[in-house]
Formats: sequence, structure tokens, C-alpha cells
Amino acid sequence: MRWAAAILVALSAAACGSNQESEEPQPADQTLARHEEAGDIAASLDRPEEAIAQYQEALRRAEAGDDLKAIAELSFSLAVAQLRANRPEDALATATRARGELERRGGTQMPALALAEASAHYRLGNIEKADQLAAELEQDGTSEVADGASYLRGIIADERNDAAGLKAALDHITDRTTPVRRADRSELQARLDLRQRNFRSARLTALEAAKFRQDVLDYRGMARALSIAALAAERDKDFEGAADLYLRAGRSAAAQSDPETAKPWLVRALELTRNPKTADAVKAALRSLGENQSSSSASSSG
Amino acid sequence: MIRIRHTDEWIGLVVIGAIAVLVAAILQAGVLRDWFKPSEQLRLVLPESGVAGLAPGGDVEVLGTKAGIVRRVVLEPNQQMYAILEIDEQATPFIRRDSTAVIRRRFGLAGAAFVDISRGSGPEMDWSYAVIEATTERAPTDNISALINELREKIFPILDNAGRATNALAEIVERINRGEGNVGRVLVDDALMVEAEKIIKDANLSVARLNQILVQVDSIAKQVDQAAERSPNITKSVEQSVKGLPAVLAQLQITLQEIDKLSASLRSSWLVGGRREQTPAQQPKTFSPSQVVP
Repeated sequence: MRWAAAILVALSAAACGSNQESEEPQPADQTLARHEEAGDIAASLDRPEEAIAQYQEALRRAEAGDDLKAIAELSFSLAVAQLRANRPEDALATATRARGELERRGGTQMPALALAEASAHYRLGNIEKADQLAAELEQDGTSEVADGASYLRGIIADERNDAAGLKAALDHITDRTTPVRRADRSELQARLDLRQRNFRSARLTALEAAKFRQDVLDYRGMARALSIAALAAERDKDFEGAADLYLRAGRSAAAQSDPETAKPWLVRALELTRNPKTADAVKAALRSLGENQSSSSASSSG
Repeated sequence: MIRIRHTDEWIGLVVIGAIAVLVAAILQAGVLRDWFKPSEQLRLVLPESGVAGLAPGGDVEVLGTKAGIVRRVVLEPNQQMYAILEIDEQATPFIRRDSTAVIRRRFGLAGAAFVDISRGSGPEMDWSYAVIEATTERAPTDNISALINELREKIFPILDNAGRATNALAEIVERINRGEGNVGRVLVDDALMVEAEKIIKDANLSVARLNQILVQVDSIAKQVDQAAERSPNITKSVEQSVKGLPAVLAQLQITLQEIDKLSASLRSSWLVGGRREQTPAQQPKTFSPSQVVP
């Protein structure tokens, strides 16, 4: 009897518990939540422009409600979407404004916002500022942010011909196991191999990084890794292989509406190849790039 | 030699005084009153099970007051046991032919036995040969034993039933824990509730999006109407309308994706007899720092 009573009591308690759990509080602002979720869905559908519009609406709603936490979170989402849409100026403005707001109102700082700001600076060519921010994040940021900052510092060091800085960044993320950080590590390793004139190793490692990037749908990073593999092949005197890799990298960048990045790679592919089929493919990619550029310039002027 | 005068008279006086004191004491003790008190004789037929401790000299009570005495208990092998009671005359009107006599003990379990005669309401007793039957009060120990027996007869079936109910309950609980049956599936499988909540959320979201799209389509239709009415501005209006179309199409795409997810959830829901399929890993709703691409 006592046993049965204990079961009944436990069942009652469980029932009470499930009721409490099922009464999940609704978000305070349904409009904000809908815009934010619409933005998330648009981002998952790889429609960054639509995601930006939805996040901006949600951010406007958060500002109307003077919700500092939501402002910070939505600003970060908006900045990431703007980076994906290859709009680093807007991303920089979004991240800077949100960080300023947090600082002015004494809110809890969000290191991820600083990482977005540093990435925007890097894309805009403000290498010094990007490195300075990334260095701060590497010291003070949370683990994931610090890893991202280390990767950014690694590619900046490579562009500055700073092998020691590149090695230090690689050492910082050498034991990371997440797919993104494994891709970062492979890319930095490929850059280091290239700098140490281990061209074959550099090419293989860069292709490995490209595969990792492809797996996590980071096509911008994939194109960059392919370009590193192409450079390694070129330095290894495999010009046709290099041309093919440059073509793949350039075509990917072109498809991502990034003609400034795509064009040099496609031109280099055309310079290196002696294969008519490869040359035709590169020319087709360059033509589509020109069409895209003209249509985008027309739309922006209109 | 000293000679006391009137010695014989003095001795006689002391004897007479002593006798007077004795008589006064006897009168005070009421012994004589009992001798001279008028009484009736009542024959009490004793139960066959025994006399229950009744003995000569035992009290007889009527209406809770002493009304007589047990004079004699007669045990004869050839006839039923009986006792001769002497009943005070003043109590005789209360004892009728339907009166009953119960042999009790003074303090329940212990004490002297006495006869308690109930007040009757029937015909008057013929005191020339007055007889009533006696019963013995059930001993409290007998009552307790009987009570225990009675309780045992009633409680043990209840305990048996409770045991069966407990076993059945335990079996039900085990089945629920194993997730068998509708209740078990609902209680054990959180995914059902999560699915249901997700379906409701998806439905809400889809309806909200459809509303937004309808509003935008309505707006576009109005703009097209206005453009048709105002032919000089038709090109500009159409251009504005078309400008809004990509966003509408994007939202439509999002909504269709939501509806697709919703229908997939419904198809796999147990509510419509579907089988639960392995749900794909959910994409993170918000970006993580690792999604910041330089």
C-alpha cells in the first residue's frame, strides 16, 4: 500500500511538473519574435537580403521597446547577415552602433559583436583596426569568440608576411574539434605550408579546408581555401591544376555576388590555362560576372 | 473491708445499659430492618452455558438501583439451573412478565456478578410462582474477539482487493513508463508534446506570414489599380509594385517552407496515425560567433 501511495504521489508530482513546464511564458513582443524568426528562416534559406530586412524590422521593434538585450542580439544577427550579403560597411555600422549603445548604457558587453566588427574591418581593408580588435578578443573574449579572433589574426598575419604571427594563431586553435575550427586550422596550416614552400602539402591541406568549409556551407571560406590551393598548385608548377582551382574559386565568389574577389581569380585562371575547355569556362564565368555587375550597378543607380 | 452499698442494683443497671447499646447498634445497622422488610421471591432460570459467576449474596438491580439479593443458586443435574432471588416489595411493580434478566459483572471484565432486571411493560407477574429467564452478558473479551474476527472478515478481502489493485496499478505504471498505450506515449515521449507545440508555433507563424503577404498583395493590387487609373503614372506605379515583389516572393517562399514543415510534422504526427520519423537536426535560431566569416 505504501508503495502504491508513493507511486501515486510521484505521478501527481510529475503531472504538476509537466503542467508547469508546459506553461512556457510567451515572448513579450510577438511582432519582434516573428520578424526575428522570419530573419532566421531567410538566413537559413541563404537569402541574406531578406534576412537583413527582417532583422532590421525586429531591431526597430526592439528599439521601440527599449530592450537593450534584444538590441544587442538582433544587431549581431543583422551584422552577420550583412557580412553574408557582402555588405561590410553596413555590418561595421551595425556592430559599432550596438557596441556603443551597450557601452553607453552600461549593458553587458557582447564579444561576438566585436568579432563581427573586426571581420567587417578586415573586409574593408582596415587591417590594423581588425587586428587590434581581434587581439583584444583573443585575450578577453569567450572561447568561441577567441578562436574566431585567432583565425582572423592568423590570416592578417599571413597577409603581413608575419610567419610567427601565423604560427601563433595556428597554435591557439590547434586542438579545436568543431568543423568550423578544423577548417580554420587547415586553412592556416595551408598558409603556413605555403610560406614554408611545402606546396604539395599546402595544396592538400587547403583542399581539406575547402571540403570542411563546404560541409558547413561557408562558401565564402571555401572559395578562399580553393584560391590558396590554387596558389600552392601554381607555385608547384601545376598550372592547369591551378587554373582549374582558380576557376572554381572565382566562380563560387561570383555566384555569391562578390565580383571584386572573383575577378582576379578568374583572370589568373585565364592566364594560366592552356586548356580550351577551361578557358571557355573561365570566359563564361567572366561574362556572367560582367552581366551581374552591370545589372547590379543598374539597379543601384535606379 | 470496704463494702459498696447497692452493689446488685449497680450491676443490673450496667447490664441493662449494655443491652440498650446493643439494641441501638442493631437498629442502627439495619439488620432488623432487613429481617422485617417485606419481599417477594423470584425464580431466575439460569442459562445452560453457566451461571456467569453469579453466587448467593449477589445483588439484584432494577432500574439501576439495588432491589434484592440472590438468596440461593440451585444446581441440579435433572433440571435446569436456577437461582432464588429475593426482591424488595417496592421493586415488584416494575418487574413484569416481559422483563428480562441479564447477569453482568460489576466492572465489565471483573467484579462481582449481579442480576440486572429490566423494567417490563407487559402483564403483571404472578408472584406466587414468579419465573423469568436470565441471559449472560457477553464478556468484553468475547466482544473484542468477535470484533477482531469481524474486522478480519471485512479487512482481509479489502487487503486482497488492494493488493490486486496495487498490482494492476504497478502494471499500468510500468506500461506507461515503457511508453505503451496512448497515455504512455504522451507522458513518456516528450517529442510528441514538442511536436505539438512546434506545430502550433509553425501554424501561428504561417498564418501571420500569410496575413502579411495578403496585406502586401492587397497593397500591390491597389497600387496597380491606381496605376491603371492614372495612365501618366502607370510606369512608375508598376515599377514600385514590382519592386515589392521580390520581398513578397521571399516571404511566400518562407511561408511555403513553413507550411511544408507543418505538413511534414502533421504527416508524421501520431494524431493522424503517422509514424514518428527521425527529425533532422534543428538549425540554430541565432548565429553563433563561429558563423562570423571574415
